[in-house]
Amino acid sequence: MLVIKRIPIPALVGLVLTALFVLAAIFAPWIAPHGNAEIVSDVPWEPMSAAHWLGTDNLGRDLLSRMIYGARITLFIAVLATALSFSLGAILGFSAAVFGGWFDTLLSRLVDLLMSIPTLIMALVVLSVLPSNLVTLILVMGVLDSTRVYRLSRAVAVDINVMDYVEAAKLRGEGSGWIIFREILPNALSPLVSELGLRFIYAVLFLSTLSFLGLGVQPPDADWGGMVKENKDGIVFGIGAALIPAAAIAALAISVNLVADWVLNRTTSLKGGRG
Amino acid sequence: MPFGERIQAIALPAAALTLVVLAHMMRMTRAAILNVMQSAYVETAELKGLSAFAVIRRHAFPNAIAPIINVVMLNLAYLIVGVVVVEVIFVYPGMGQYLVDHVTKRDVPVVQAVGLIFAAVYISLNIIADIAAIVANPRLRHPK
Amino acid sequence: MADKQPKPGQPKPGQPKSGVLLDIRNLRIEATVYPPGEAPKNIVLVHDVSLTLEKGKVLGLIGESGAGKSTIGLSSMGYGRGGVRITGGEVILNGRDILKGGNEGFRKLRGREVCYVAQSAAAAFNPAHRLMDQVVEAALLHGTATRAEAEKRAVALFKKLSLPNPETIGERFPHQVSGGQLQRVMTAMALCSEPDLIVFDEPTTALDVTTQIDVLAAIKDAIRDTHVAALYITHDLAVVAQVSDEIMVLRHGRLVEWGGTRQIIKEPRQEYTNALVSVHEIEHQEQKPGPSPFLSVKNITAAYGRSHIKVLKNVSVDIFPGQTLAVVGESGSGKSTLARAITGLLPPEQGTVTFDGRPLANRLADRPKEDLRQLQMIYQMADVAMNPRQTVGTIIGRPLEFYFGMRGRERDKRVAELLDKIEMGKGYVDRYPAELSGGQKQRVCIARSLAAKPKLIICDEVTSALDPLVAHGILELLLELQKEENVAYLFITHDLATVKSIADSIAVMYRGEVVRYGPKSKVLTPPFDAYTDLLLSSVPEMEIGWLEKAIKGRRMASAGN
Repeated sequence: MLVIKRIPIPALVGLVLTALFVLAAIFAPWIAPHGNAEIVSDVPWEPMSAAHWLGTDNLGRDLLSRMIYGARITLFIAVLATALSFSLGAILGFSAAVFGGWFDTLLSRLVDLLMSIPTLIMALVVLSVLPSNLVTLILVMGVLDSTRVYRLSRAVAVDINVMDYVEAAKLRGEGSGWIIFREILPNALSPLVSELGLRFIYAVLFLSTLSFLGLGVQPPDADWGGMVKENKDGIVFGIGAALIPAAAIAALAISVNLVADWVLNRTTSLKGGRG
Repeated sequence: MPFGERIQAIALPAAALTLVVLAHMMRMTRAAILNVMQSAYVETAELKGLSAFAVIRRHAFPNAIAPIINVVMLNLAYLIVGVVVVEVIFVYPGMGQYLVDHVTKRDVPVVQAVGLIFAAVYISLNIIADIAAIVANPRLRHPK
Repeated sequence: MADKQPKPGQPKPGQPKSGVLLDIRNLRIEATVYPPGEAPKNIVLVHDVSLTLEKGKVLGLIGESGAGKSTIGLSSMGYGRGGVRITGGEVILNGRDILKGGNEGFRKLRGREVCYVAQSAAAAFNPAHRLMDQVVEAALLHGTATRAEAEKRAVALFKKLSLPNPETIGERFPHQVSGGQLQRVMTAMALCSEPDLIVFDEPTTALDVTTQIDVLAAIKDAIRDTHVAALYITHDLAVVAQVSDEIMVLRHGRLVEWGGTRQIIKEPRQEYTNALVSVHEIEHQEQKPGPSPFLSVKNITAAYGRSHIKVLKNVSVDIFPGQTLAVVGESGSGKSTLARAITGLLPPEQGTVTFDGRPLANRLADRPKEDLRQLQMIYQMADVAMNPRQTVGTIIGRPLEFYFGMRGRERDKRVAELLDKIEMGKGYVDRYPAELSGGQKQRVCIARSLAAKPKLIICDEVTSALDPLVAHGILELLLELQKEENVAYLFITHDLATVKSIADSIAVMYRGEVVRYGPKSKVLTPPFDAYTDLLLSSVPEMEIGWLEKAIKGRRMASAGN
């Protein structure tokens, strides 16, 4: 069905890059030339060479290997956090729109409350109390992000819920299941899919920010944000090791967005992709 | 620290923060104006013979203020979060740096206090923006 | 077809050439469309249309949607909406070709020589400025008057257009003034800079019928007194017959027929014009009410939310098997609310709905499936009444599955039958609603409601969003289906012509109350109550001089003017 020729070039670039990142993450132990925490050089920040393609980091570890393992950690946490925020936000948002009444009021005020504090500040406050491990990190990121998804999906669903075709389904006597999954969801999908791409990127950036501040993934493991932090002192000496993980974050953000844009374009057509 | 030096110290962090917000702000403002430019009253204005600039100034802009204020509001959150990161990067001894330091030390009372101040600033800025949006709307200023 | 047409509108040999204000020659207008996933392509909106308009005369441009009438009207100001471009021909105004003037030339002309009156004045006024500022804006911009002069002129125009409080209405904001009044303020705005030509783009279409007549009369008087020329664009032949000297019929961007108003409505030469003129007539014999109604609404009172304003006050009507009850009224009369009360979407505060001799539960959620099946509904906007992500087959097939448990081949067979009933082929089964025309969409909605084999179908303004000829086809289809399936209709509409052609009994609603109710022949025979009289006398008739007669004979002022 999917002909490669018909995919526009930006989307193709996005797809290829995203696929590369994902493959690197999945097969990290087999691809990486060295171990994650393995010190391969006595000198920190060795320049790029045939032995170490991207040079070494502040402790003399192979940067390429750490980047590959970093992709694994970054993507793993971001995917789980996004999945959590999406399932939580979308289901609650749709339900609030369809059921209305006190259920809607209660949830919406709760979300307003959570959103009235900037996400990072909220996360910092929570992380200062809870133990810092992966589960906490994913939970905090997922729940905080789900407020945005809740808002969006509720707004979209409220718009769709007043359409005549939903009223027609209610008049027919359809249950909430049919209305949510067959009438509302297919029509809410395209804004949600593009939001999914955006949210995933925000999750990556948020995780990087937290790790950069030293509150995310704890050493010796490191995600890309943490690697920027580890190597940032090198910048003063003119060593660009910190720029490599930073560039990887940017590349991932752009490529996922390119794919999300393309998916959005394809799914907004109301003629079943026929023209 | 004398004033001149202080400005010098602030220049780079401020520039970094501005750049981050600027792009988003420009895109959203453009979208808001474009949205208003689709409306029938802009067509009416064009058909009165107003120049493109006059149409935007007299007819599009007064109606685009509310969405633009909204954009500014959205960006306040970015700015406040941004302050924390930027202070750490530039090793600027402000509240953001202070907060992060004490989170690592798990010094909860300090974290609570600083978090509260940040939240209070953010909420009061939001309230100001909301009020401005109401003032900008003639329907709310001049009821039937 | 266009070429063979005689052109009676062109200046006769004896007339001085200076009498011609607007001369459009071989106008060709194109637009570029960007279908998703395809290369952009050019479509021609107006093919080679020519017209002339003399000073102080009114030319009516008439046609269905997509006929290119607004596009032609706007071309006289050198304006194209969206990506619309004038690609050929000449537009000569006051002796010079305005298309050669460039943007600078257009700006000098707009608001000074040619002014525009839009369809929806409510959207065409800037909500952020006072009315007076907007009315005098063009005159000040072009320097034709000082502010004081322009305001004086505006007040005089407000008076002429019989607006209430002409001295102070300019101080208000658009949202503080009703739709009919705004439309007149917009006419004043167009007249304020004393242009040579005004383009009226469906100025009364969005108004209620009793308001339309006032605005129409005001516009007509203003045109006569100021000796301005006008292009009057509308889809309603009866309206245009009241105001214009000549009529031009357009279809698909081509000229169909052009002639004097009397000739067009009395002796149309083209088949299409004839169809437009005679569109209102449908043969339908009124049926006598049966022995007992199967659905009766008793003393229903309803309000939205907790508000104390009653949208329905003590409403009682009966519906007989296989017959049509038409509910007429203007916007805000509560006619759609009546439908919502009957379907259970808005539980009434008082009163009952009896169905087959037993009371129907007030709330939708309390009604058994069988009751829901018996009452089906068709909506005004067919394109939002169907889920855009479902195919026609799913849309029609779902009630079959839901009510009768039909699956697979049995269901497909029944869907094909239903498609056949609504005169659409099997080929449409896997189409999406976006791939259908307006009339086809409404037909699919009809099929969906028929699929439930209901006793009653509520039709909420089902034809008002459609072009007259398409609407006519839908009404004929509905009547035919009524005979075949013995289904009753509750037909909600504001259009009296529709009511006359399909109703068996009529209920006239005004501000939440039924003011007149009975068999069609009785309701439409005098003596009338004041409101029914107003309503009936406000429906434009295709007859020259009707407007003056109707205004003279009125006993009651309309409410929403």
